[in-house]
Amino acid sequence: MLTPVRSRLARRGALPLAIAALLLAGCGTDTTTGGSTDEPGTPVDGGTLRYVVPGSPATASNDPHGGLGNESDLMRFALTYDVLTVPGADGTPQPRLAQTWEANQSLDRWTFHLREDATFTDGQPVLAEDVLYSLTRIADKAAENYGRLADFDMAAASAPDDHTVVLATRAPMAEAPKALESISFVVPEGSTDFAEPVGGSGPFRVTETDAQTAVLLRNDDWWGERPHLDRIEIRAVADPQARAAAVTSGQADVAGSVSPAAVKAAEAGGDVQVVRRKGVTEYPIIMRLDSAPFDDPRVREAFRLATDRQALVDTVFLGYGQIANDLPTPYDPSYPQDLTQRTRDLDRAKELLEEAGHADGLKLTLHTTTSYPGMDTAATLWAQQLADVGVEVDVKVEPADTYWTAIYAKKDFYVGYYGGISFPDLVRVGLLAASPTNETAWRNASFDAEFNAAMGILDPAERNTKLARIQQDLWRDGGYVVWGVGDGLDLTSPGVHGLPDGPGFQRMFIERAWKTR
Amino acid sequence: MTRIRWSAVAPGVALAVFTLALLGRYLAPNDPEQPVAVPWSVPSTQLPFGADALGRDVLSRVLAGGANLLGVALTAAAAALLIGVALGLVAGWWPRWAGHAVRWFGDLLLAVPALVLALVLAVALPGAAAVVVAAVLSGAPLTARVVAAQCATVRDSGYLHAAVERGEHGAVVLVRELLPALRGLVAADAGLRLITALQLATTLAVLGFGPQPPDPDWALMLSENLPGAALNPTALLAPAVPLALCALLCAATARTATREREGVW
Amino acid sequence: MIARRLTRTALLVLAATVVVFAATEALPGDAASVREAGRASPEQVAQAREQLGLDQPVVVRYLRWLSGLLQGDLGSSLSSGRPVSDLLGQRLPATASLVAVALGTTVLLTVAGLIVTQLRRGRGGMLAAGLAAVPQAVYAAALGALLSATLGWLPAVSLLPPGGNPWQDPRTLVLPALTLALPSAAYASTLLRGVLTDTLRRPHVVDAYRRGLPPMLVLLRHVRPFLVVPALQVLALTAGWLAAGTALVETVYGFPGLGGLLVSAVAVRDIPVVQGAALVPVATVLLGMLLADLAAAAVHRNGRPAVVRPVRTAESTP
Repeated sequence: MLTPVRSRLARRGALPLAIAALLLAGCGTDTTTGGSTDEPGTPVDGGTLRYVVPGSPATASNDPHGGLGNESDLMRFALTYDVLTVPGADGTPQPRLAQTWEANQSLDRWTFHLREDATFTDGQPVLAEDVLYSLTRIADKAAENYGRLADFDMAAASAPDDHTVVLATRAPMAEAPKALESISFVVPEGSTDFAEPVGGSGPFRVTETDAQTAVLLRNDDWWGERPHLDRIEIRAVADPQARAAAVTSGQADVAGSVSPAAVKAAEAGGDVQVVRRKGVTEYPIIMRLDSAPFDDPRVREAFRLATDRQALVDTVFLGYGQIANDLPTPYDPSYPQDLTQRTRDLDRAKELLEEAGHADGLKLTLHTTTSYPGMDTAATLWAQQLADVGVEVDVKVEPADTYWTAIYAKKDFYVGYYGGISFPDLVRVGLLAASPTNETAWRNASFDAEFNAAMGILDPAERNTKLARIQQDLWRDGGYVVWGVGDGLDLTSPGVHGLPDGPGFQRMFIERAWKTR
Repeated sequence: MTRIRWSAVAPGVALAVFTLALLGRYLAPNDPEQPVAVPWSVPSTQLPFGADALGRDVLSRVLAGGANLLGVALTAAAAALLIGVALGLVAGWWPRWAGHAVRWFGDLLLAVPALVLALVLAVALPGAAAVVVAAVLSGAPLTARVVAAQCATVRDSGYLHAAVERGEHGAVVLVRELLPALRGLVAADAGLRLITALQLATTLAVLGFGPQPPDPDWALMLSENLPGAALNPTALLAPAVPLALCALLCAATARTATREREGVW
Repeated sequence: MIARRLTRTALLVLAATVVVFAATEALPGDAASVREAGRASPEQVAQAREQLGLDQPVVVRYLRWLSGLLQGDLGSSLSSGRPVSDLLGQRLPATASLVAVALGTTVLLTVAGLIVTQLRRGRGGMLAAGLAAVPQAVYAAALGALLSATLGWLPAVSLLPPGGNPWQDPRTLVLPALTLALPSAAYASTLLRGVLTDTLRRPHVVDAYRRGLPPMLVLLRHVRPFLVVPALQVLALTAGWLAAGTALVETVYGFPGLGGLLVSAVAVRDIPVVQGAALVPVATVLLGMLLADLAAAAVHRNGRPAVVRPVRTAESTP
């Protein structure tokens, strides 16, 4: 379900990033940043926030249970519908429509207690039947939404009373509340026609929509804390340059998901703020453990030691990112905090290569593509860095169209992509012996056993300790060179405050934002 | 004051500019993809065109940024011209069936604007390939039409009859006797084909179906450097001027060739 | 005569639908693999292919699409599931306004340009040809830099007010329309200049000049009638050219119309939307051509001279 995005659908420009972030970042977490930008000053009530979001007119939809291919739609849904849980600042799911939840002993039956004061815009209360209807509809539309709720058995779900929902998972699933985060949009039971927006129970309601803009007004009947803003205009603009220009020229207050280059240009040119969301993009180097020369751990270690991480972050993400330590999910709550940071050590790298029998050099072909901005630069620069230890890496830029079918998880040496996937999802997709896309050919029986044991533990702290343990193995022996993680970047005009800068879908929940006059 | 014979110098200048653009990356003083200065630095002696949003040398980027664009445009134009001339010769030689088909096909493709064709093709093809195919589909019938018309007029001239009576094969006559007579016409048409191809390649690149950042590319630089127009206008002018110049030179070349052919100055 | 032209246009429309359909459907990478985006198993892709009718032969799919088209049903977007006709209808008014303004500007600039070059005895032809050759993106950059970034007269992007009616904030139309009109006016001028030169060599025009009539009067009384039909044909071509040009202009300025729809549909390979949006400029050209032809026929009947289809052989720039 959560494979890295490798879509021909999303191959160009900013759209791939947007979709990638949409589909994958939902599970991303971040332990280092707070929940929102905390600028000084008291929030001011009132005003209109004009938000320009990546959105492709071709894919605009009113159905919150479909593909969610458009950020502009997703933001509208996040503001007009309630979800069961939302991503919290610390990476754990927080209550929204569900106030509390608990699981049975085997972690495959989850009981959610809904708040009783939520009402739809037509005045009807939000009941357990509405939640079941909505979740079942999401599960039924698996073909459209990439099986978003595939881990839940909706046929076995039930509603013991009006404000309690019991959900069944197909296997023990300690992270069920997390899987429901953000995407479990609740619509009134029986809604089938989504040609026009269907009323929800969120902090805002839609008043008008056209080809580009959705106008939302504050829903004063919402159960939660009263939002500061009166009105939000969400505009879908596909071109990243046009989004940035809308803010710099004062036609919009916020531009979502702009490129590092556009941020640099805007910062140099005018009075703007930048919201940095951590852990959104990474381009790891993938080495297959079952093919030479990467079957020799000394070669993998040498390659990691030859990497100048800061130079890569500065060039590929223009500094809007952090160096990483060869683990693909440094933002996950289970990340082992006590790990030594690998740094560049050319002497040791050369030694290792000599020991491995490559004293007189090594010649390799590294595949990359242009699907996401900077993938090719990353390959070129890294190849230059490896030249310093006598390894000649020939960079081959493959067509973006066929990369994710012909190269990804097929070749033994290439530049990969992750967009904020969580560690457990990463393991399920690519690190178990039976994983569908085990791109590094990491097959380790004790790793698998420890992972499965960890996923049966309900207590997050205890589970994360176990997960951190197995990441130590991956750090030491795995097939990744993860040199850095790029930030998600939003551009705002100076008067805008209170926007979320947390991981993944959190950026869509902007109801606490406010604007100085 | 003597009027500059624009049209007379244009082909020479065009050749020089195109050569410079195609080989420019070897003359670039800096790495076109690496920052070397403060973003939006204004022109100085070290950086004659200043720096762009990332502090990259605009001069180096301009020098390196024409090859791909012009390469695609030249390929597309050459393909359109070759196929067009071939079709035109066939249609002019056998006007009844082939001529009719070419005319009709030309009318049809006139109804589908070349840009729309290129975009539709970009669904399945990489940007450069879409430009080439669209340029051929929309340009070749036009070339074919003028070549066929001209061909039909020379067809009945004495020297062709003589060649045919010598017993030479039709195809040989076409290539050896007829083609040279069409030289001026083809030269003029080449300029027009190149204009269309250049426009298509530029538009698709700006729309994101061509080279991707951080590649230096004139078309991409137009949109990349627009946000800094007030800070370093040179960064915007630097790719715009050679791009416009190439287009102007193509137009001038086409006109020159047309006039030479018609004997009008 | 009229029946023949209608038949001809109908045939061309039919052929154009074949071109558009073939370009999107016959090439590798079909809609099912796009929609499943590499996430689905081969079985799921096969199932989706069946759902979308992609297991049928190309000809069957084309005929099915065409019969839908004739009933106003262009299918549904692969990515949003919304009917393509809704998507097109929602954006048509904004784009129609933009093209209308651009066309009006083009006509004014072309007439002015022709008069000026004529008064200057034909100079400036090179300038017009050159201006027509410069890619549209250069105009967008130059106008944006000058009118928006430097002078600050106009918004850098044309975000429309809620409701999507550009006339509520006409400033949003200025930059896109100018970017469209400048090169197309240069292009129209080069097309019409040839016709104009030929007309000026006609005996009665030469004679009128010789009699010492004022140049403007000669232009209006003796030259203009010969220009009506070619001008209409150029107008039709220009309208289609402008409709196609909205692809770049709407994307660059963030203007919510059909051109931007086409570009974004191409980017996500939403084939039904691509087909629908691509047919709009095609239909514009063909309809314009038909109207021009009918006008030409009418002019003929009135015994006026007409130059029949001189621009058919002319260049079409994108």
